[in-house]
Amino acid sequence: MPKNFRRGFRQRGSILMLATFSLPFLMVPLVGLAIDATILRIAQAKLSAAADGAALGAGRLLGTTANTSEIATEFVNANFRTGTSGFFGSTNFTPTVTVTLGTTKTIAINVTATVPLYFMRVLGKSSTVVSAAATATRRDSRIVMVIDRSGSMTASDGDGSTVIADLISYAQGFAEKFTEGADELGLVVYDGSATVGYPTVRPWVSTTTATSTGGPDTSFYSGVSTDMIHQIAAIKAAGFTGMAEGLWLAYIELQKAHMRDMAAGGGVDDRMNSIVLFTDGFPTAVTVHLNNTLDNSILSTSACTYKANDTQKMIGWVGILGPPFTTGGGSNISGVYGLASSDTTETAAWWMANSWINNTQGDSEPGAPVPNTPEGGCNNIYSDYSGKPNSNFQTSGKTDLKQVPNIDGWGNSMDGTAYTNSAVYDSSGSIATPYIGALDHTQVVNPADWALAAWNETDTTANNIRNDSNRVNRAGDTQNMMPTIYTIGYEGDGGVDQGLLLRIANDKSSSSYNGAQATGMYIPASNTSALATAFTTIASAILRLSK
Amino acid sequence: MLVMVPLTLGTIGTGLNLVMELQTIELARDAGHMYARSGPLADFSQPGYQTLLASIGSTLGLSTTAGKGSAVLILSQVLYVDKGICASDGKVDGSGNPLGCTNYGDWVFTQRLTIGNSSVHSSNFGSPVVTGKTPVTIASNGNIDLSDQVTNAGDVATFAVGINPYQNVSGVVSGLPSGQTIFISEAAANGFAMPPIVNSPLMYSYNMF
Repeated sequence: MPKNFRRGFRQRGSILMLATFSLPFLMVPLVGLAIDATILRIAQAKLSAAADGAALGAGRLLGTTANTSEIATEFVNANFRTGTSGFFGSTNFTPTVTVTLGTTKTIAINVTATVPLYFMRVLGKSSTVVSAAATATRRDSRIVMVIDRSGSMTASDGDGSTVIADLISYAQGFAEKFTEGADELGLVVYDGSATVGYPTVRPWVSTTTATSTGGPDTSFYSGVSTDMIHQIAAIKAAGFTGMAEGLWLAYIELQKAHMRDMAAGGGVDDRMNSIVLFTDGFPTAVTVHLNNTLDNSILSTSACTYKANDTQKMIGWVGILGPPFTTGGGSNISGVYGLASSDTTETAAWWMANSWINNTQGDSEPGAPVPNTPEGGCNNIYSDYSGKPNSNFQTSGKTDLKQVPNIDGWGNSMDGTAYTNSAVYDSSGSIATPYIGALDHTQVVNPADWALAAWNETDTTANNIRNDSNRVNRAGDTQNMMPTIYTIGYEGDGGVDQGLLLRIANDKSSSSYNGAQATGMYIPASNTSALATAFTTIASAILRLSK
Repeated sequence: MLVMVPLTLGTIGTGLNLVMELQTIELARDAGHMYARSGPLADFSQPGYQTLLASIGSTLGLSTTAGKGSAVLILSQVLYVDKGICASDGKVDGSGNPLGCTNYGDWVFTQRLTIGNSSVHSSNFGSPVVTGKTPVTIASNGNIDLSDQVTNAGDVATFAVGINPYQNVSGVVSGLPSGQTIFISEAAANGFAMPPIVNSPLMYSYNMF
C-alpha cells in the first residue's frame, strides 16, 4: 500500500473527531464572541448617537436661561434607554455634562453604560462598559433687525388688525428669543429714509471705530422705556420704501459693535453677525449724493448752490411712487429730502412714531434752501415735505440734474442690469411686472429709471454688506465679519420681489448665489400667520449651533 | 451536520440583522444630525437633499421614491405650545392667557417629512392627522401651519413617558425658551427574514436632537 494513501486514510477519522470536539469549545465561543462584539458595537453606536443628539439638542439652548446641563442629561436618557426594557439591557448609565460659557459656549457630553454580554459569560465575562462623547458649540449673536414701516404697512391684515400691528408683535417675539446680557441686538426702521431705532443714541454717527457711539448691545430687553422691545412697539408706518439705506445702516451698526467688542476682547470678536430684513414691497426710494466727487449728477447750468463736487453736501433721498412704475410726466417722483439719520434734533423715540413727512425741524422748507440741505438752491428738485411728490421734479428736473446717479448716497452702485432678475410674486402666486424697460441714467424725470436704480442700489448694497466691503476702512481690523442676511417678504400687500429678496439674502436658490459669502435665507409670508412662522424660522436659523 | 448547518445559517442571519441594526442607528443619527444642524437652511423636502439621505441609507434599501424600497426615514420637528405660541396665533385673552388655544401644553408637529417606503413603519411619535373633518394640512415642504399647531388636536405628537427630553427637567418646560423645537429622526428597515423562526424582522432606531 502506498505510504501517502495510508496516511490519508488514517487522518479522515481525526478530522471528524476534531470538528465534533471543537464545536462546543471553539466554534460556539467564536460565534458567540462575534455576536457579543457586534452587540457592543451597536450599543456604542447608539450611545454615541444619544450623546450627539444631546449635544445638539441642549447646545442650541446655550446662552439662554435654560438649564442646559440638565436638559442634555434628559436628552441622552431619552435617546438611550436603559434597564430591562432599555437598549440591549444596558445599565449603569452615566452621563457627564460640562458647559463652558463665554462668547463662544461649549457643551461637552461624556456617557458610559454597562452592556450585558450573552455568550462571553461562559468565559466569565458577563458585561462590559462602553462610552461615547460629543461636543457642540454656539457663538453669541449680533443681530440688527431692519423693519419696513412704509405706508402700505397700515393695510388690514384681514383679521381685524393691521399688518404693522402684527409685525410689531412678531418682531418683539423675535427679539425676546435672544438672551439679554449675551446676544447683541439692534433695530433699524425705514420708510423713504432709514433711522436707527435701537440703541437710542443721538446724535447718530456713521463712523465705525471702536469708540463710535451706538451699535447693537446686550441690554435690548432690559425693561426700560427705551429698550428695543419698547422701540419696536412705538413704530408707526408711513411713506416710501428705502430698503437699501435700511440695510446699510444695519451694516454700520454691526461694525460699531464689532469694533467695540474686538477692542474689549484683545483683538478677537467671534460673534455671528446677522441682519434680518422685513419688507412688504419694493424699493421705492434711493439715497443720493448729487454732487459726489466721483459721480456729480448736477448740471453745470443748474441754479443749485452746491453744484461743485463736495463730500458733505447735497446728500439726501428721492422717492418714487409705485409700482407699477411709469415713464415720464405726472407726479411720481418726490423731491429730494434730507436723510433721517442726519437729523440732530429729534430723539430715536420720536423717529419711531414719526417719519420724514413730519420732520420740519432744522430745515426751513419749502423753497428756502439752507446750507447742507440736499435741495440747496435748486429750483425744481426741492421737496415741500407735504408727503406728496413734487410735480416740478418731473416737469423741470432736467434743469438741475443731468443723470440718475450711478452711486447712491452711501457709496453703493446703482448702475448695471441686476434688475433683470426681478421676480415679483403676490400672495396668490401670480407674477407681476412692475418694472418697465432698461435703466437709462439720462432719463432723470422717468420714475421707471429711478425705480430700476433703486433695485440695483438695494442689490449692490446687500452684496457689499455680505462682502464686508468696508473692512478696508476699519483701522486695525483684518477680520471679515461675514454678515448673514435673512429676508422676509410679506406678500399680502400687492406682492414682493422674490428675485431681489433671494439675492439680498444670498439664498441658495438665488440667481446670484455666492458660496464665498454667508448663506442667508429668504422666507415668503403669504399671510400674517406665515409671517409669525417666518420670524420663528429665522430665529432658529440664527440660534443653530456653530459646531 | 444537524448542529453545524443551523448554527451556520443562524449565525449568518443574526449577523445580517445585527449589521442592519447598526446601519439603521447610523442612518437615524446621520440624517437627524444634518436635519438638526442645518435647521431651516437646508430643505429636506427638496429632491437634492432627499437623494443625499437615500445615499446614506442605500444599503438598507432607502429610496427617494415614495412607497418604494425596504426602508423609511421619518423626520419631524415638534414644538411645545406655551403661552407665547398661543399669542403668536392670537389665541390669548387680554391678560395673555390662552384662549381657544386647543393644544396649549402639548407637543405638536411643526414639520413632518417621510422619505422612502412609509409602509415599512409608521412613526412611534404619532403623525399629524390628515383626514377627517379638520385635517392637518402639511405643505409640500413638510411644514405645518401655525394655526394647525395651535388649534388642531390632530397635530399633537405622542410622547411616551421616558422619551420626552424635557419631561423630567426641573419645572418641566419652564426653562425652555418659547418656540424651541426638538428635531426627531426615525429610521426603519425590513430585516433579514429567517422563517419560521423570524418572519418579518424590523430594524428601528430614533434619535432626538
